[in-house]
Amino acid sequence: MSSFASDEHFVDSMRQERSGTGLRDQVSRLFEEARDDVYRYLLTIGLHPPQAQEAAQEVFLRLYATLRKGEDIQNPRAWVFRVAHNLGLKIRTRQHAEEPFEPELSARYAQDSGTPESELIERERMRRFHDAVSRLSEQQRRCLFLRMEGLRYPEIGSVLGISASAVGEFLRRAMVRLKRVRDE
Amino acid sequence: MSNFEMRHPDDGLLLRYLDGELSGRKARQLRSHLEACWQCRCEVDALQATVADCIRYRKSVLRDGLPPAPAPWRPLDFESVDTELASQSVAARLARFFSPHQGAPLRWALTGAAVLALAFVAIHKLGETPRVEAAALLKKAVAVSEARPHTAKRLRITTSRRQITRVIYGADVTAPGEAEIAALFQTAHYDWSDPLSAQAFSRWRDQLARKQDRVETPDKDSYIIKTTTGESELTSATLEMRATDFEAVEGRFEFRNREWVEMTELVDQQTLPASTLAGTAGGMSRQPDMPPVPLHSTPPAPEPEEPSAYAEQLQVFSALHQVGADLGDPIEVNREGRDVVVSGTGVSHQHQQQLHALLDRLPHVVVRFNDPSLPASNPPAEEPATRDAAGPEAPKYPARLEARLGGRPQFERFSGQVLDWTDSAMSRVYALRRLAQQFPAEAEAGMRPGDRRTLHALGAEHAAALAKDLQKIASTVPPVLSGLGAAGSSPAASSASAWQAAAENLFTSGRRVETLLAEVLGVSAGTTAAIRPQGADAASQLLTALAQFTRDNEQCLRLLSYDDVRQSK
Repeated sequence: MSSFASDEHFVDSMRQERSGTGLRDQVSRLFEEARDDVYRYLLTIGLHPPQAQEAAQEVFLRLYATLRKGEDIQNPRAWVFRVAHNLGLKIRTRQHAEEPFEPELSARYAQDSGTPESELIERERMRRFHDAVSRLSEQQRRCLFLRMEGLRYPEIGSVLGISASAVGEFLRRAMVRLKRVRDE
Repeated sequence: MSNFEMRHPDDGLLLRYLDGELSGRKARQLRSHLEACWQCRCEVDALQATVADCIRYRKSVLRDGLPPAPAPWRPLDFESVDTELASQSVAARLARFFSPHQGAPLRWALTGAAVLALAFVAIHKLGETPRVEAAALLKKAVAVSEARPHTAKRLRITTSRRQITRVIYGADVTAPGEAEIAALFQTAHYDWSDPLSAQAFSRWRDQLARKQDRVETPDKDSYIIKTTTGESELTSATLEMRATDFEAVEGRFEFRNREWVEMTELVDQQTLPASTLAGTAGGMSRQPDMPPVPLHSTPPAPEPEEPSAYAEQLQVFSALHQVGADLGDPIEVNREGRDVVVSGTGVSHQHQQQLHALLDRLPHVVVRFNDPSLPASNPPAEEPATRDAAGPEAPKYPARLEARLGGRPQFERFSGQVLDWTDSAMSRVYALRRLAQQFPAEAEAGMRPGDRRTLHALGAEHAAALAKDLQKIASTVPPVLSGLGAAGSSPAASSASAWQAAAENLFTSGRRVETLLAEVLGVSAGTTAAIRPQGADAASQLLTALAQFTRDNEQCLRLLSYDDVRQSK
């Protein structure tokens, strides 16, 4: 999440150091910074943890390969999510026989007890929020998750293959539904 | 589109504002509305609170609630990638990969996975996905097209200097200037006999050992394949194919000597295009998996229908127009048997209600709206991308314009204004084209005079509104671009003899303006802009394209009003 401000700088230095160890360092840095986000995103689209980790690793190697081939990547973080998304879906399609990964988040929230009341209220609220998120349409949820990762509308659009205005519309619907959780 | 300061903006607009996705001008308007309106400020607070919830959710549920990575992260194996890149062709890479003497380079991948999975990883590691996809698409398109008999089709061919119309598989007539363009293609070893075809594209592409492919699906109706290479005189070729029948409809070719050529298949009633088919005309339902229909068996005109059938369709379009749902709402109007079905995904609640109120009482009209929940592999039906935010790129034109206009704020005002006008203009173009597709000339001939007048009035209203937008653009953009040294050339005369054909031409010229404008102003135009490289002189091209756009609209308006007069007599 912290890398946007430095994206421009990142790109510049990547251009300067197209080959050699500089590029490797840059990719490694982005890898360390964003791998967990990418990994979690892959879990949310239904990959099982080992696949998601393998795929996340793969995505950053592709980033390196693409930059090595001399291509310009304007926003590496958005690029990484786009490639992760496509790779994730391909892996999912290949394993259509297998059940997609669905973490039992709500169950986990119900388990704990003996915690202060304020925390319990917050948990209850997050549980309801999670329920609302699960009820969103798939596209709405994907737009929302990518937005949470800091991607802009055109970038989300290019990940999902839809227009930026469609992203705006999906996000609007998602936010309207999530807003209701507060009012409940 | 400019008077929303009078009304309260909806959540969508507020969210786009908060997310910095509004153009400068809209954002300023909204900001001043917010200063004045307590109610909307509270709405903003509620939205911000929901954003805060999202962030808490991301942290406490997604970050802490999802299982952590099962194994420690391994450092990235850059060596393997470098080794891979060192080898040249795909064939060599794959052959090496499957060879029994496979050694160290791929060790990282060889951890107990099946051969199939390995092949998958290998292909992807080399970044070949678009290439495989492009090859597969082209193969399919070639197969489909070979199963289809060749008939005459007309191409509008535009270069930086001229525009010609060429008939393929028709009379052997050479247009002036054609030889020069043909020579350009021949030096690039690109087959000139039917250049706007998957075959020609594919044959050229197959000769290239080094190339980069890109496959885009800007909407559900088309695929765009772009191949770039450093090996050929033709350095970049882009082919747009219709998704329903893989027919090539548009192409752009860029040469090493900076020449460019664009081709569009012309559709009008003088010559039936090779690709007339259900789904693009007559409001018949689209059948994506429909086998290719041999041309000679395709009826030259849509099935003869009762004049009253058009009356219902027309009522639907009038209703859409009345509530303003014909300017960008993702609404489809199709015939299913006797019924006209109005359907849509992602249509605003307000429009849904208004349309139900207007259409539910009509016999034979069925209204169906649903909430979008589409798999990501199948992008939802949406209007082509609009420019909602500054793109990530910062090409040279914006900087020059900024200098010319006297600073960043001036540039932002200029670009916001021009983009607003273009948005508005393009929504008219789409609406017109849609009318033209829904009521093709042949169908119009069978309509009752009153219905024809209604249809023409609908069309003329769009064309007139478009003319106003165009006038604003034309009085603002050219002076600034000329100041940068850009010079346009005069546009080609329109050959359309029916307004439907003119609307199609208008669509082509409008798209071109949109793309070039996005390039010159340095904003992202979704997928379309991404496949356009920065031209040598996009500003001059833009001037020519603007002139063409204006002329095409004049022609469209003329045909709409002319027929109207003639029919009312």
